[in-house]
Amino acid sequence: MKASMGSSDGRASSIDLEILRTRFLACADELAAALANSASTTELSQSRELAVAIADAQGHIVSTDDPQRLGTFAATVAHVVDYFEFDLEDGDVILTNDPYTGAAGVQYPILISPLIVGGQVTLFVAVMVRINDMGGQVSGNLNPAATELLSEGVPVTPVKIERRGRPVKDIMGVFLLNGRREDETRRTIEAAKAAIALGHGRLGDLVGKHGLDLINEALAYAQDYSETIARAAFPSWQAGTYEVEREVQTNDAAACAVVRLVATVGQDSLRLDFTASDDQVPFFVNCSKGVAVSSALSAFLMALSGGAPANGGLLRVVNVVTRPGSVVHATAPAPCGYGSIHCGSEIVDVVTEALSLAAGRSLPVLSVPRPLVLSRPTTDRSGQRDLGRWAVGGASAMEGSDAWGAPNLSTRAELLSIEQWETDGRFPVEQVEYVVDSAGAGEWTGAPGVELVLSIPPGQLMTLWTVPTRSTVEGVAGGHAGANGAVSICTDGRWEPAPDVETEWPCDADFLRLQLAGGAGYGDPRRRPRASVIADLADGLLSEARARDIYDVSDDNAHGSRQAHG
Amino acid sequence: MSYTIAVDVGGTFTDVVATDETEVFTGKVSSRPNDEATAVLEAVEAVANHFGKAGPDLLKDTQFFILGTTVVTNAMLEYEGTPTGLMTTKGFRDILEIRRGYKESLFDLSLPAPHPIVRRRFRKGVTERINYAGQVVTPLNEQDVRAAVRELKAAGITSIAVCLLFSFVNDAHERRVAEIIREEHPDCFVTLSCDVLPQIREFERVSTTVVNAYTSPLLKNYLHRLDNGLRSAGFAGELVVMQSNGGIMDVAYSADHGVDAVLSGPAGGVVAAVALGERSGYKDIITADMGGTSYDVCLIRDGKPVVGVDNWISRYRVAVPLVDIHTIGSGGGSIASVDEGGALRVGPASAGASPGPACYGRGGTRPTVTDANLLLGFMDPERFMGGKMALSRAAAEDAFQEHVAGPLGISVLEAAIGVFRIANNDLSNALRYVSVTRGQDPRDFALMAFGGAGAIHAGIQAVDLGIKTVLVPRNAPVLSAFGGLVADFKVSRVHSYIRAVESVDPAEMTELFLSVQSEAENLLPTSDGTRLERYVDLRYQGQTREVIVPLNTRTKKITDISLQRAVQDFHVLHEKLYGHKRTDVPVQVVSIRVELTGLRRMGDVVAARKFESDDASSAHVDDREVYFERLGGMVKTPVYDGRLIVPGNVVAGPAVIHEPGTTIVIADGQEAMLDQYETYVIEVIR
Repeated sequence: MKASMGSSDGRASSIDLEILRTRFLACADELAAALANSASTTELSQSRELAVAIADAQGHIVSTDDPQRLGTFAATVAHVVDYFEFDLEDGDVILTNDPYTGAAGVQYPILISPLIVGGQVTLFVAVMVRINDMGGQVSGNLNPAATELLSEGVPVTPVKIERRGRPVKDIMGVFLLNGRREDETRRTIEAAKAAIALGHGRLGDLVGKHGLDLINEALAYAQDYSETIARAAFPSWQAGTYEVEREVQTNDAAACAVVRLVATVGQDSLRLDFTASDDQVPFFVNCSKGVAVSSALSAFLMALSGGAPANGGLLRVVNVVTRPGSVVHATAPAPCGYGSIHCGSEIVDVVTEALSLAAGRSLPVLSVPRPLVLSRPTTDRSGQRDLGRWAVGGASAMEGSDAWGAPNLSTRAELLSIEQWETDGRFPVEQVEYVVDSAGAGEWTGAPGVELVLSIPPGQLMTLWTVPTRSTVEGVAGGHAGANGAVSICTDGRWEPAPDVETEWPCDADFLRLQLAGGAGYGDPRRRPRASVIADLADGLLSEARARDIYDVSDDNAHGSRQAHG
Repeated sequence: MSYTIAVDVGGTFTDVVATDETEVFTGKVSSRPNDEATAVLEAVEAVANHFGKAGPDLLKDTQFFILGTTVVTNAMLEYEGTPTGLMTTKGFRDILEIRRGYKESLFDLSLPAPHPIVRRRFRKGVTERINYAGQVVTPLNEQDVRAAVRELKAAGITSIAVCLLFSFVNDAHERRVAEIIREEHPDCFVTLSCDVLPQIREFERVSTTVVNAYTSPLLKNYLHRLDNGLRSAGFAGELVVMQSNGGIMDVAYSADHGVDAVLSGPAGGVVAAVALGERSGYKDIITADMGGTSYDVCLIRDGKPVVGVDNWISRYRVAVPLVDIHTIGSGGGSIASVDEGGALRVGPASAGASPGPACYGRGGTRPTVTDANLLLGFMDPERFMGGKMALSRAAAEDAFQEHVAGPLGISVLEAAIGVFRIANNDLSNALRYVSVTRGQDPRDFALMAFGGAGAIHAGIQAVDLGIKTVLVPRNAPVLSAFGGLVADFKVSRVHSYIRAVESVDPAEMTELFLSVQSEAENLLPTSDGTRLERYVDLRYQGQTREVIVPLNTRTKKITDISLQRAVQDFHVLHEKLYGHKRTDVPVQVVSIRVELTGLRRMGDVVAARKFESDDASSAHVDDREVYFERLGGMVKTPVYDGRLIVPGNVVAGPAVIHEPGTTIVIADGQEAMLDQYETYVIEVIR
């Protein structure tokens, strides 16, 4: 659509609509910031495992602070609107964590509340939070031994935890009773409800100031705008069909599940057909339809450099097709606790590759394989700690610039403070440092992987799935893969690989070493400027052997140059 | 006769405000790229000329010389600091670069890495370890330290930052490292994290320490050169530097604390806003400084600027307390365009000062907010910069036609109105963000506008946010320098102290406060009296963000009661900030803070002028067509020459007042009066 200025026909001017569109965006950001700042768990405040969305009366998403959750919100809000079609009242707050209708996993409940003006549902505020225990066999709801959802935790179909502004105690009581961290979960839900109340206040003021008609028009305009921006990208892409696939590792090394994509790039739309993907597996890597859509759209947004605001307008342009019962669209009874990591990452990768083919330029791989590493004291079933949150992989390079830091899509989460972690009584951190030669070589290099070493106190039960670290991130356009990651344990001074898969494994190791893959390089390493190679040598990111073997920089020259650098 | 001179060095102009205790002089001289000192001395000449004295005579009688400097800011913006090394606990030298995983943009793959102000080769790990309780787990390996220092010295490093884990609970290893550095490399500048920011969280501490190490030697050299230059010209008073916390400090302190001067100039503007606001009867103020490229917003609550600790300077984290200035890239030079979605955009690209807006006639061809303001009649092409620069309306029209009106199929006037409204929305969003995210309701505040264009837009923001009063100081163009003139000495110190509130020993806490206070007193120059304020950083158990809460006591002693009062205040503040409180959840202390203010008796540097008649007709110099949305478009509007307005004069909107350095738009439903302290007080009814 094209913006129009006129308002003489009684319609809102494009300026009014544009002003309101940015207000919806600012509102979602503000609510998320308030929620993160007031949250009582590091999963919310630092790892930012929360998200806020505003949806129109039909349940279409208008704005969100986290574009990577768009599909999850879209599916869940649509389901709730349908579920409670004739039973929505002012002050209602609905909760669900059902992955089969869109949620990312049982540990990610979504709260949804309508804003009702003049007796009509005007819009919805939705808040997603991570809770640290929702029942199941393993606290934290990440269970590599789970073969069904109920082993991961308790799913909750949409229920009202507040009705007309009054708490529904029996429902909330049942919900809390199903987790091991009742007080913490209650506080998290209270914080989410406070964010919803804040949102109702902000949005109610907007309705009061601008009137319902203009607000409704602006809710539609915001989505039209994103649609227009997204469609504008297509002329630079080559229309056609592109087929890409990736393996998702499982607990059975011989039986990977394959994500298969047939991407059809049209003149101004994109169809991402995953129906040929393998059947779901009895392992926690299946993902919900909501996660599949979120992951696919994240890759699409990356191809647009984030230029289009994430909302329902994108879903008119990008049609994600899945087959129920497949690894990218879990149905009962499949487990899917780790699905947003694997196979979410694989979905991001296949869409990125397909769009690279369409664009005629190689986009970097946007993720690194990530293991699961949990630990809890033998004596405390609810004291699960996700040590994998410490892991930092390297971003992959793209044409024209070396990569730095972690892959972009993982940087919403803030890494923990070592001093804060130790002060709060966790395990001492022995090292957090780049790994030499871990960055993928190329004309432009990947970012190095980071090695973390933790002391492990006695009496810990560990839950592990370390298989993904064996994979590397492949380079593009002649660039080399980054070094693969590894999870190792040290007992009595002897390092050895950690087990592939374990649940609640009694661990008597002294240290744990966690290393994620380095990012991949881009382009032929021999084209890398010599000065850059010498700088990497001087900075200890590159060994002399690798400089010689890959970059053809000799010892003598490099040594002389390093001395010059000091 | 005793003089006080305050100078603020900006990118384009160096502003000066001086007083001989009876009169205030304000002036501007051109800044000189890479040569601040010369512009400063030229500003002194301007003061001397005004008071009819020779430069040396003026300086001989000058008691205070207050400097707002851009040396530190520029060193960070241009990455031209001192060659710097870092010594840290072995195994953690990449913390600075890992940045707790932070990237400025989730979807922008082309964003380059931050410029490494300390290259990895100059980041040295040394064997040592202190645990969270302050116990030495691994003794410091002094040979490691010596070897590292020698390597850094050989590499030409002249400034070393030292940041060891948990030095905020036990600084012994850091201090020993400093001793060794001084033995091995006596000329090296040394910054210890336990001095700069003795606070938990290693990334925030190491980044702040490195920024200090990178910038301080430059500031030190500059201040010593300037001090020597002034003294050889006869100056016998005290040279002091505007700090980012809103106070001033002497050269001895400032030279070692570059990180405290990163916002030296902008902080001066906020301090001036406090002083001028109080004189006009307002203690709760939102400041809005609109320049060519940015819009800076700061909150002043109960006469005190809100202090923030979440700042980034040139992509480096700076966690020392700074006046909490929120900046958006929206200024007079912000460029308007139509994006792929057919929506009108304003900024973030800016025409800056060069080539500047199209109407400047300096080669700019893109339409900007300033061009829109000209086309809507807010600015007079003949009276810009006090008539020193003519503006081209035709150039502005051409730019709008080509880049906005044409693509949207609308008239140039409609396009200018659109840009004006979008820009106003962006400014209102910034004001709303700053107030709401700090738990404040903007309706409780007056809005003080300064900068070239701030007062054109302020009336709109006031209506948008429900603000009832707009303040526009007449000396807005030199506000930062004026802030230096009225600022007090101030030392802000913080120290980690991590305890559950119920396990705090009040005697122990009292002792720590006294120790930190003593540290602050030792740093504070002689003053006319002191004011001590104490704070605790509190949070609910499990949270990672703290709320800074005043700790009010009548004596130096902390008691259970005073601590419980702070906890009660914390619940209230938390609810205000985040919409809820949790009285059932344990509360933790994370840090203690001391703010020691050394008061300066500046007297009334702005003497109250006598009120004259309310009749402003003698300043009514013209009428022209100006845009007012509520009046339906362009309407004939009275124009006033601000130089002819005297205290007591009342100007009812719609009207435009042209002051030499700024333009003030009074909308319909608004009324301005120049008060005794030469601040326009604009009452906003609608």
